[in-house]
Amino acid sequence: MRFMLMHKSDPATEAGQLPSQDLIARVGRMIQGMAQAGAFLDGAGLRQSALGVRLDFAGGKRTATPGPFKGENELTAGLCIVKVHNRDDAVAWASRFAAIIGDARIDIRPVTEPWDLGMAMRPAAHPFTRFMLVLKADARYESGTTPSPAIVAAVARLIEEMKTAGVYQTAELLQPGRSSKRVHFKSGKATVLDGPFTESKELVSGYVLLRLPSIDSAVEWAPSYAAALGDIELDIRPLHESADLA
Amino acid sequence: MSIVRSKDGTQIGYEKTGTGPLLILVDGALCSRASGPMVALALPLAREFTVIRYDRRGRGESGDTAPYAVAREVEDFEALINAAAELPIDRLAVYEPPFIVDDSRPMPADYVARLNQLLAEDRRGDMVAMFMKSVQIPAFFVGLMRLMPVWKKLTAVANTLPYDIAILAGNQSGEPLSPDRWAAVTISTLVMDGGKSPAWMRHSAAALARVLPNAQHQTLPGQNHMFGAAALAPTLLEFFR
Repeated sequence: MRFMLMHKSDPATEAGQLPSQDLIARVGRMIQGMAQAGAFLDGAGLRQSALGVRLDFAGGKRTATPGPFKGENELTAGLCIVKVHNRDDAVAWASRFAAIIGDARIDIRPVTEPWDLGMAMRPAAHPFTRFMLVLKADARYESGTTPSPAIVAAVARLIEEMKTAGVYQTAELLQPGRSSKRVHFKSGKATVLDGPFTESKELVSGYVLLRLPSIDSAVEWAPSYAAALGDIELDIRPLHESADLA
Repeated sequence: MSIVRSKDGTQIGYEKTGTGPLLILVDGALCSRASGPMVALALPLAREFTVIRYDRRGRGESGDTAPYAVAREVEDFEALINAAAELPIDRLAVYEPPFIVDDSRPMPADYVARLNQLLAEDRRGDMVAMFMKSVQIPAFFVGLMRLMPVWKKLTAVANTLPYDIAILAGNQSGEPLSPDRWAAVTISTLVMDGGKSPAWMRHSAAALARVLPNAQHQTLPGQNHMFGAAALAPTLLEFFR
């Protein structure tokens, strides 16, 4: 099974502070440890929400609210990473997606790139930025209703189009909150909560995708995550496999 | 992109920019036309030279016909020269050839066998990680690279890691380079290294410059193995002009 471990933002990242060299090294060691255990599949960090834009789609109408975002209902239903020239391009792809699924809230957030951390030069020949499209959970999603075959097929066609355009990086649909766990760290001490989560006011700040036998084995990785990132809130979310939806 | 056929029929994808005498850039391990320090290096060189960058076999747009042999890669190079119709080669520049000439980079005895085993299991990420560890890149940095777009590009060409080791055959043993083996390479050669590179790479460059009959050695201050184009280009232009 695949699990997404999503950590929440803290005041420092929301203020636009880039992580210290020490923090970067701790995260690197954590990822390498997960990889050596054969669990690591993918991961990404997000820049502060002030660089993002929140899109609300209702009745075919789109409302765009620039960041920073106040944490409201921040439970994630799905995400997609696109590689595009600018934020407007990311908004356009998100709008294509919303045209398929109907009313939705989608946050557009820039992904942290190596040059944001001073680890590499921004490649002059490839002026692309990665953006994460974060789809928010709603009551229908939280009830466990999976998308209809027609919607699944239309999304699959859109993803094919994104691949052809060289835009597509990744896309995942998460299982609802009730299948999930939340680990909250305070002064290094962990509290594990079972979903569903009525309160989800913390903004997502990044994720790691792991392949593990069970959600309990995913919870076992939480202390390493806290050791790298400090006192965090971490949601552990099982993913839908495409076979579940077909 | 253009395509040339190598002697064994394998497609070799390349691109040509600039005008002037021909200069062919040959990538190192895990690099290709899409990724690596040569991408940026081609631009300044193309102001005075016709620069060819190509995908070595097994990478990018080039094919890969089994069984691999180092001679096939030499034929790929010949095909590129023939496509540009320019002979002879009169100068050669190398940056940090990865020979191991002393005990500054110990190699695991079963390194190649483990790489081939991982390739057979299609564990390309583990191949790249093993290579990175062997060239003394810190574990935390390898972990971070896994989060970056470059990781997909590296794993896409991980299948060619055994090829690069085959090319180096016998020269990663920790033994000094044998002068006899290099005596025939009388072409004018510039051997470069970076002032911030690890000891094993710097020792390798110095050793090669010593055994080549017609070589000069230059250290680029502040550079490491992933050189900056702005630092390397002036040195190369001066040497090739």
